[in-house]
Order: sequence, then C-alpha cells, then structure tokens
Amino acid sequence: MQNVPGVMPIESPNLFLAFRRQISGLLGAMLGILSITGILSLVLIGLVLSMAANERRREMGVLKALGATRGFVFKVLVIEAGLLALAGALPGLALAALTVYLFRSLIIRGLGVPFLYPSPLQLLGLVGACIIGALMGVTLAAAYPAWRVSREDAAISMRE
Amino acid sequence: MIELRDVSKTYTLDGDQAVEAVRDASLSVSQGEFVIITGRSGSGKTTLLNLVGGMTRPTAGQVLIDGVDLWQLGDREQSRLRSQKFGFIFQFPSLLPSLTVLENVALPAMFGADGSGQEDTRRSQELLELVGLAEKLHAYPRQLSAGQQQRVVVARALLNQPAILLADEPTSDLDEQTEHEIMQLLRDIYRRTAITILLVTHTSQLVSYGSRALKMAAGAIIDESA
Repeated sequence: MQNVPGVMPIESPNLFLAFRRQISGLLGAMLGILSITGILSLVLIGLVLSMAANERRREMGVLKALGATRGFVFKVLVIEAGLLALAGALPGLALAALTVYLFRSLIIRGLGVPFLYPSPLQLLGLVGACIIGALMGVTLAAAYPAWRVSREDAAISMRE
Repeated sequence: MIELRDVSKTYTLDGDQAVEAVRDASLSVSQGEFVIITGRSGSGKTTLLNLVGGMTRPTAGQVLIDGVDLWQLGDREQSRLRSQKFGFIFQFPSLLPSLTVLENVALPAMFGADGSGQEDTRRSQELLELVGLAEKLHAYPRQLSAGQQQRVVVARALLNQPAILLADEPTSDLDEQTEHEIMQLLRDIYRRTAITILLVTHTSQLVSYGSRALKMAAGAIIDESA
C-alpha cells in the first residue's frame, strides 16, 4: 500500500476491538434481559398453572375416585401443561421468525450492527433448543402444583 | 364386607382450627345390604362415606374392606381396589364436560376393567340402556338435564361391576319426581344384583328405599333401625 501513490495505511488495532466490545455488550445486555424475562415467565407460568390445577381439583378428585393413581393425576396435569407449552412455543417461534424477517433492515439500522441469518442447521438447532427450553420450563413450573393436587385426598379435592 | 372400627376424622381449618367430622364411628355392613344414612347437614354423613371409599384418610381407627385395611395398602393397590370394588355417585355434577355420555360411562374402564375397548363400549351402551338413556350416547353432559346427568353417573358407577355402590346425596339437586325416579332406579339395580349400597341423604323420607337405616349427628352414628 505504501507503494501506491497518495495512499497511506493506517494501523488501527482498536477499530475491531471497539466493534467487538460493542457487540459483546449488546449480547450481554440481551442475555441479561432474556434471563430476567425467563425467570419472571417461569414464576408467572407457575402461578397460572397452579390456578389451573386448582380449578381442576374436583375433576382430579373424581378421577381418583374412579381409580386413578396419584401418578396418573400428576402425569395428566404435567402433560397438559407440556401441550400448552408446545401450543404456545410453536406459533411464538413462527411469529418471532416472521418479525425478524420483515423488520430485518429496521433492526440493522436501529442497532447499528450488521445482521446475518444463521445457517439453516443452526436455525433448526435454535428452534429445537427453544422448544426444549419451553417444555422444560413449563414442566418445572407445573411440577409443584401437579404434585400438590395429586397428593391431596380425593375427598378434599372434591370439596370446593 | 365393610367394617369401620372406631374411626374418627378431624379436619384442620385455617391452620389451627380443628373440626371433628366423624368421631369413634363403628359400623359393619354385610354384602347385599342397602344402607341409608340420614342426618342434618354437617353431621358427618359425607365424611363417613368418603372414609368407607378410601377417599380420605382417617385420623384414627381402621377401615376394612373384605378384611383388608384400606390404609395399609399403597396408592396403586388402593386405587385398584377403588376402581374394582366401588362405584361412586356424587352430589355435584361429576361428568367430564369434554367427553360424550358414552365416553364418560366408559371412563372407569381406563383404570380397572380387564375387558377390551369394544367390550367396555358394549357394556357402557348396555348400562345406558338400563338407565334409560340409550338415545343419548353421543350427547355431551351440558345437553342433558340434571336428572339425566345423574342417571349417566349411575351407569358410570356400575361399569366395573362393583360390589359396593357409594351414593352421596344423589338426589339433592333434583325435583321430587326425578328424585323418586333415581331412587327407584337404585332400588331396581339393588334388587337385580347382589350389590351393597351405602347412600347418604338429609331427606329422611328416602329411608323406605333401603334395607337398613342409620342416623348421624355431630359426627357419630346415633341411631340404627333395621
């Protein structure tokens, strides 16, 4: 470059470092927000599922009277919560993908960083991880209310 | 067949307030009896029935079914015994709203019957014919009257051919005519089979349907008349 007339190279090791720091900061902030949202969601889902299990205590009491074991009642409530998680996660992911696709240029302009789609394989992995995460989170949140209802005397469950 | 030995049940309300729903109740019921237990609200009738059916654990005493202490059994054995030995009729609407009448009646087969799915369906249809609802197989509970719903519950209670039928105020929400029809139906079932029936009610006029009457007050069995 020094041999090209009128052109002078500038050494700037900080150029990429600053950019990398900006990206790392952004990623860290996003992960932080995501973690807080995840914990709050888990608590909220736990409360909602606890209310849902409470609403169905009488029904579970009837099932126990008909011969359902505690394990059966526990499974019914947890599987139901899992199905709800799937029913929420699949449209949620589709909606997120559509939003990113439609507002890609806006995101790039807003954040001031280039934005590339991950490879299809990575994308598939991320979708799988999201679904597994949602299922695990909801199962965890549903476990306690389901356990509580399954342990209760059928007579108590039926008395509202 | 059914034996209660000095059974008591105390509920704890709001953390520390204790209510003794049943106290030192002893009772022996032989196979083929139709026992009607009467008493005012809060006398402990429903709790006594729940104790017999293993739906609540006694605070003291023993509940024996064919000589087996219910509460010495594990959850799995107790659930199996409940599905095979008992049929329950509840006071409140107990049909699952998302299932059809036929599916509701076949529900106990899921937990206890040895038959195939086809056999369970056939038997459910027979029972619905028995209770006069053969034309309502595919209806949903919300499409039935309270009396019809209670007939479906009777059919469901009989699916696994139980030896004992426990009925908790089965006619409390029904008009006089429907009450009579349901009681007549129970008496017909009692006469046709060797089933043992324990029925609790606050209506003392229903005593005439049974073969034995008991009265409860303040958690104790206070009167027995054959």
